[in-house]
This record gives sequence, structure tokens and C-alpha cells, in this order.
Amino acid sequence: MGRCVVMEEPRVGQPGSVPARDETGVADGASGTSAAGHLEVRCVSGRSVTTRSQATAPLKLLTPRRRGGAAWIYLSTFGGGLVAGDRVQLYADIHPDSVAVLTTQAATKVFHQQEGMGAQQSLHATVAQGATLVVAPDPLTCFADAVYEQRQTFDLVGDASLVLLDWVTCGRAARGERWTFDRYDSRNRIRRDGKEIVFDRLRLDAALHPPADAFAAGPFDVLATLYLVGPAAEEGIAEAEAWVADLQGDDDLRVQASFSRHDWGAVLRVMGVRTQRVSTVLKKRLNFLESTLGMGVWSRRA
Amino acid sequence: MNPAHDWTLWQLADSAFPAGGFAHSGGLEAAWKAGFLPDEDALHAALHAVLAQTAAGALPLIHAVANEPEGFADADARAHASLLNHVANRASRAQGRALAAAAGRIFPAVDADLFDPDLELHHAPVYGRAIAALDLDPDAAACLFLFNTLRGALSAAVRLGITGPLRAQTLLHELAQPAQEAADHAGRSLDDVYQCAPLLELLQGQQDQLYSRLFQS
Repeated sequence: MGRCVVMEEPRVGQPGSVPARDETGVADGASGTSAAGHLEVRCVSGRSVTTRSQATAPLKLLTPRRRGGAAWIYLSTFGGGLVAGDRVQLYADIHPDSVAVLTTQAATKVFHQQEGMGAQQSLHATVAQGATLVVAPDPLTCFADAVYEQRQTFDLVGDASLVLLDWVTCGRAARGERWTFDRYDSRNRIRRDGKEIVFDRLRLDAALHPPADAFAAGPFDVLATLYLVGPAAEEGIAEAEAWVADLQGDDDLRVQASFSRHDWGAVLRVMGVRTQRVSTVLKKRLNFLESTLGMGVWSRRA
Repeated sequence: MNPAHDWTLWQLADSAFPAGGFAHSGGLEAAWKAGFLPDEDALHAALHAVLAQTAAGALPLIHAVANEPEGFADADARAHASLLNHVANRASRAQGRALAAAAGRIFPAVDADLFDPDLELHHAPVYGRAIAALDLDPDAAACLFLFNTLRGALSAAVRLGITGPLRAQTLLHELAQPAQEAADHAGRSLDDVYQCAPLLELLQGQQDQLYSRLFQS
């Protein structure tokens, strides 16, 4: 590896501290705004360092220093949620041999739509040779009447690894709000060296096939998918497979899971009746990352 | 219109056509074993989910290939990347390969070379490529694909003892309207592929762990 120069860490977490780009501005006739973020993580003297972290409001990127060799990036949006018309785009460049964790500090809320306009989030990440990207946010929660579209694309190079968690809850369950949003449409694409290995799009649409239908979400309040790709995910793949095999003998129907192994990695799907319960299950599935990250993904908040 | 087209569609619909559909329950067996099919209402809901999922996951691939046969390899790759549940993925490849072999032998218009054995040969793209070679109406053929899928699921429900053979035929008849609507709503390009019945998909993924089973999927 060539000598990397430690770049000055940019000031982060202050909306407006970075010159606004042309994407910024009020979207047509809506209350929402467009925001763009750019992230770059490099391996510097054996440590992963966030060498670029820029975002325009309402997106904020926090990059606290933490023990272990990984770079940690916390995403948040002003007010803790997305309103109709919000469009958040994030670009991440994970350089060779570095390790990055992209997570959040709290669940992302999506508020009700306005005249059919909803909120959009997109992430495009490139993960270079030998690098590992962990994307482990808190769950997304779509409130009643919300419209949400998410597009995530990951371009992996060579033996890069990806651990990606994507999960959504039924709404404000405590208020009896279960799957009452208008539309949730999430698409995850993963390519390795340009070849598409995952194209996974889940669309829950009240008008076409309501999410509360018996074989959509059915009796469950949480849907989660964990994608495990590449050498850094091997231990997690084996652990998830063993957990699902054990679960089958269990009479507890409050958590259901399925595990599928592929030549590029594995996919774990989990559905459960309580967010807390599913959160505990997922945290255990992510425990294997401790050796890579030096600490658990959700062990401590920034 | 060539009247032979109808004849060919009927032949593709015939249960004697060797496309291997009856080895698959579309996730119903796993759902039944897991206790999610306690009564006929639940079966009805499951069949609706099979319909919706097939319309959203397979029909766009059929239309894309029927409309542009040279895009067959891309559609096959998209089918492979979108069928993340290994049970559904395996079932799709088994049926695709069976259909490719049968169509290549039965219909002179279907050249066996259309199906490169180095590809995965998933069911929907192979079906789309075959109907293009046979010059069949894509909309009618897409509806037939839904019909065959539902008919297979119902046949599985009968063999599992979830419903009776006459009742199954009534259900098949009742689902004609929702099937037509699902077909009308289906997308036509590779990017339109999605899934909308996550619980059915998850349960189907448990198929291999069933203690004893009648079906491959």
C-alpha cells in the first residue's frame, strides 16, 4: 500500500458548514429539500480514516473517533425524519483495505406524503479491493400515509466485503398504527466487478398489494434483510446459517427467518412481532463484526 | 391471426406438457407446515400472494424478453440476481431448463441453440424467449404463465390436503379476475422486477428445512 497522507478532517455535523451544491434547495412546491452527502474513507497507517465528509442540510454526517481500526459515520437528518419532498443522496467511496461503518443514532421516521409526493433516499457506495463496508442503520419507520422510496447501489471491487442491513417497521405500533403508509419501495443492488449479484426490490403499496396482507407483512411488525457478502462476512454467514437451523425447531412463531446461501455470500430475512426483539436478534447476527471493528455495531451510541 | 397460435397456447397450458411445474408448491407447503394456512381464507390470501408475487417478479422479465429477444441473457441474469431465496431460485432454474428442453424438442420454431447451457436458464426469461420464437401474443402468454403458476399451487394444495379438488377448481375460477388485474399492472422492463409478499418469500425459503416434504419448492 502506498503512503497515505492524513488529510485534515473536515468539520462535520453542521448543516450549512459546507457550501451548498446545486442539488440544494426547496423542491418544487413541497416542504422538503434536497440534500447531498459525500463520504470518503481511506486506510492511513493501518487505520481507517474518514478523509471526506460533506453534507448539505437536512443531512448530517457525524464522524466520531472510536476505538478499533474502523471509520464510523453516523447519518442523521434534521429533526430525525424525512418529510414529503425530501430527497437525500449519499455517495460513499471506501478505498482499498479500509473498513467503514455507516449507521444512525435513531430510527428514521418518514412523515405523511403531500399530494402524492413522498421522501427519497439514495446511497451509492463503491467498496474497493480489500475494503469492508458495514451499513447497519436503525430501522426505518413509515408513518400513516407516508410514501418512501429508497435506492441503494453497491459496487464492490475484487474481494471487497459488504454487510448490509435494511429494515422497516410497521409505523407507530404503540398508537395502533400498523402498515398504514401509502407506499414503501426499497431497492438494493449489489455488483461485483460490474456484474450484478443482487437486485432486491421490495414494494409495499396500499393501492396494489397492501403491506398488512396476510402474506406480505401478515402478523409481523418488522421486516429485515441482512446481506452478507465477501470474505469479511464469512463468519457472519456461518453464524446466521446455524441460527436459522436452530430456529426451525423452535415453536416460537414471533420471529421467523430464512437463510439463503449463494456463491457470492448469503441473505438472511427476518420478520418479527416486536422491534425490540428483532433488534436483539439482529444485534447477535452482527456480533461477528466485533473482531473486525474492535467493538459491536450497536454497542454504544456516539 | 394464425389460428395455430391458440393451439400452441393450449398445448403450453396442458398439464401433459413436460415443463415440470407440478413439483413445486410456490411456497404453500412451507407455509402450511409453519402453520400459516389454517383455513380456506388463509389459502385464498396465499394464492393472492402467489399471483401478486409472480406478476411482480416474473412477468416483467417475460415481457422484456418477448419484446426484445436479444436481451435474453440480461433478463436471465436479472432473474438470478432477484431470486434471492435459494428455494425459489432453484425452482425457477429447474422449470426453465425443463421448458427449454421440452420446447426445443417439440416446436420446430424453437431452436435449441436459443438457450445457452452456460446461462442459468430461469423460468420467466426462457418462457419469454420461447413465446417470442413461437410468435405468441405476449399478453396472452403472460396470463397463461400466471394461470400455470396458480394451477400448480392449487394442485399442491390439493395434494397436501389443504383443500379438495372441486373446491380448488372453484378457487381457480374465482381468481381469474384478480389474475387479469395483476397481469395488467405488471411492469415490462427488467427494472420493474420486485417482490410484494415478503412473508410468502420467507416461508418458501424454509422449504429445505422441512422434516418431510412432497415438493421441491
